[in-house]
Amino acid sequence: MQVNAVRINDSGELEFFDGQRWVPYTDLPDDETGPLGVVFRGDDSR
Amino acid sequence: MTGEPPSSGGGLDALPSPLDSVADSRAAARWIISSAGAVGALLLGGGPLIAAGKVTDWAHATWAGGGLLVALLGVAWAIWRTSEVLVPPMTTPASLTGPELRGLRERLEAEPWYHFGGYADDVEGLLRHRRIAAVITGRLRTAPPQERAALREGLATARRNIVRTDPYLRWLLASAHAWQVRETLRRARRQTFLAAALVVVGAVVFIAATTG
Repeated sequence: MQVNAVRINDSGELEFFDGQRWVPYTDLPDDETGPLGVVFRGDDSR
Repeated sequence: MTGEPPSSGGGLDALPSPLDSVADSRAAARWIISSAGAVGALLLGGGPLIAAGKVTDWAHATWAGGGLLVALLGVAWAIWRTSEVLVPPMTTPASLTGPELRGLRERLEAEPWYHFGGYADDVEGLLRHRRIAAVITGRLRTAPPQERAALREGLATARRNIVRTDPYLRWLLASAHAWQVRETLRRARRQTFLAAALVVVGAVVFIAATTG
């Protein structure tokens, strides 16, 4: 089964395949903080 | 006191973009290219040619010519490899899962909460929603009527999730772009070091042949 394939389950809900199992596809929660930057290799200033 | 948490200054505007490092990497590359070009000009300058003019036999002339050729090849090698830093890399979401960004991916996935928020544990998880939206759109064309409502609802969910995850994806693409330029510069520096050794060997052979 291909990762991220979708199907409608017996309950009529949409599911996607995450690579190991079928998971209900739902809304993500709101995240207002936004992304943080990355620290490059060799940069020890964190 | 309002009881509101203090502003963290978070968000894309408050942090320097990883793309800022691209200009620095390219400036370093231009400096390396200029230095290599100066060495090449020195090798083809008057001094070496005057020294070559003092050679009187074919054996020494061959050694001198070979040494000069090796040194010039070293210069050309350094300029060729370093100029790759100036070629803009093509950075797409697919780049994030490619082998050339494995180092960056491992770093991000070691601390996913910093780079993906609560939305994913890995890069694939962050990229999932556009893929799912595309799959649903494809399914909608041929889906039986009893599935269409759930698919349309899922498509709306996917679009909302894309909006939520896009800031992270934009940040990752910027980081991936900068990472690619940086890794190209790191490879160019290693290659330039080897090329410099070649230049030294060629110069030593040339000097030995013209003064011996």
